[in-house]
Amino acid sequence: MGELAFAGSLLLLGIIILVDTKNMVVPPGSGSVGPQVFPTIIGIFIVAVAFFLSVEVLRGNYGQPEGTEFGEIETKTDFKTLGTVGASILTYPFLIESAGFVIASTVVFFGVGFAYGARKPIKNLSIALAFALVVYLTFTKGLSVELPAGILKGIL
Amino acid sequence: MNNVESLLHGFASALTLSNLMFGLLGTFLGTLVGVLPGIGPALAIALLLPITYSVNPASALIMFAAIYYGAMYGGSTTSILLNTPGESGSVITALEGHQMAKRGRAGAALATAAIGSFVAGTIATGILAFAAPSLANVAISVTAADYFALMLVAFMTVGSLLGSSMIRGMVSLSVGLALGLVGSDLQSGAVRLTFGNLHAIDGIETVTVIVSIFALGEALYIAGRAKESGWSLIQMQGKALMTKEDWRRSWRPWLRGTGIGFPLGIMPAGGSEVPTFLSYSVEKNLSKNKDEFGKGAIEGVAGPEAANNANAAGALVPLLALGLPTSATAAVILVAFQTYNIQTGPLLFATNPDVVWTLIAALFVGNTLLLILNLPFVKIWVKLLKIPKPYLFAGITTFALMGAYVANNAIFDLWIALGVAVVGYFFRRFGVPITPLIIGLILGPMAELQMRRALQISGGDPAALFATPLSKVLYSVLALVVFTPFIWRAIKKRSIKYPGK
Repeated sequence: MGELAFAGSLLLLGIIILVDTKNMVVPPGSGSVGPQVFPTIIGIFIVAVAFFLSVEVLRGNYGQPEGTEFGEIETKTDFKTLGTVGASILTYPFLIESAGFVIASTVVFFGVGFAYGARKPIKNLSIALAFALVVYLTFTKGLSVELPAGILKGIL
Repeated sequence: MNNVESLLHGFASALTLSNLMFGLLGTFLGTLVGVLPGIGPALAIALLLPITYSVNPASALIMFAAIYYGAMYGGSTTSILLNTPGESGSVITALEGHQMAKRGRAGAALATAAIGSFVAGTIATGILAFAAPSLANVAISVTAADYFALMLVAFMTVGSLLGSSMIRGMVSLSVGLALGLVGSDLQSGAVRLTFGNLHAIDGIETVTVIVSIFALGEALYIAGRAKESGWSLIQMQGKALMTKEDWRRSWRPWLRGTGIGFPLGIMPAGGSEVPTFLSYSVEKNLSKNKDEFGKGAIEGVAGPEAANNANAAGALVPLLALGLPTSATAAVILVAFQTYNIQTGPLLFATNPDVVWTLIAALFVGNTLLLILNLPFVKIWVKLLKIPKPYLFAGITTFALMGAYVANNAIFDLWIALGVAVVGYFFRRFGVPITPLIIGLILGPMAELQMRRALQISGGDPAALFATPLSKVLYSVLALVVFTPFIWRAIKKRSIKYPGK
């Protein structure tokens, strides 16, 4: 069932591309082969792939979940862990420029570490902060790659 | 200047003190990241790309070559000691090398992998130094129609050889092609699939897609689906050394592995899976100790590891001479070149001879540094395998987000990264391979350019796409490629039984 929805979203992607291409504003003088030809081919290709994938799924040839290096694959999704990791990652775009790299990274590190089973909060937080600081200082001071300092500007 | 002179010039610039230091740093970081479980060479390079942003191109290339070899070496260490192949090219190493480690022969397995990689890498880079310029000379006369056909072949091979089913490879490829469409069309300026977003006009940043689909997608997937379970890290006894007997049994597989890996790297054969499996079955058939295979035969590590490295060097030939990446790792290297404003392709050797010869020299140097540095220090790398899983994933995730952001310093890229991470999750969930997406993303826009060039000359007549002799040959190859996977899978099924991957 899930895989049919997956094929369905692929179909949707193909349709979006075809519609977008149809409504594209084509600048004059684009030549005989303009900017619409290639996207149209790809849109059709995607629709076709979505169709064949659905056929495959309906025939009972389901996609085998990828094996990992980290233990066996469960048949049921662990939404709690997945949600915690997802939520942690989601904070990053909000924090990176306002709060700065060190805080944003500490939050993500702590959240993902917690989700993956780091149950000692103080230890986890210290490692998170140390990691963020080392990466920040290595890149900004050592390699002169700019990273946002955020509210810690002046301190770091 | 002939090739030898150019290469010597390359060595002169690669062997300055500061560049050697960059090489050492690259070797160290490449191995450090490559040895971490769950990180294959492509991701390691993409993650480490930001550190080269502020370095001058020559030093950056040296560092980069060192990272490249370091990451590959790190991957084989993890495969042998932990039985966790980071990528398809290491599956065999994990299979046979881990068995050796279990029997207390971890040191010999690591040594034959490292020395074999060195031998294969050196021979293959030597051939590369002569093959790539010659191919580039020929490639100058290759027409747009030929290029387009060549890219179609690459799409088909990468899409159909990887993963469990051809249709799922095509799913991955098609999503990559779609991502490649986003942004303004370079030729006409028309804006596609941006939905009014100004950031999207510049297109989707490739580095962002690579780090998020590999690292973030994996972090989500394992959080959601993997059962808690420990690793069986094998303690290494003694030093990483080989006995006389080991040497006797290893040198032929090294050379044969090189012979298999390099030519297959030049062809768009979809990365290192095919050559390593081929090398393994060749060694198995030629060996006098057939019953040892599957229980830790040194030939089964020596051959495939050499094939893997030679294959990686072979993949650089089409990359440098044609600008055509044929594996995820090669695709990342192409992205790296683009960040240094180096255009790969037939004109590279004419327009940027210094850079390209420095790179080739750097490959020799990096390869050598790796052998000297890593065998004695293998115990330090092994310690890295003891990092607890929570901190490992927290670190990888944090670093990947940084990599996604720092390419353009744009929050927009982070939103793309999160979207791609979700795609990566569902790809893994439904057994869709990742590499075709990356190839589609990078080669898609190039294929469009060549197709339109070819058609514009003919005034839009599609017959122009089949007009040249080379394109006719390539379309025949394409037809072959469509049917080869069926044969290939049959061979694979017969020669190897997976012990529950």
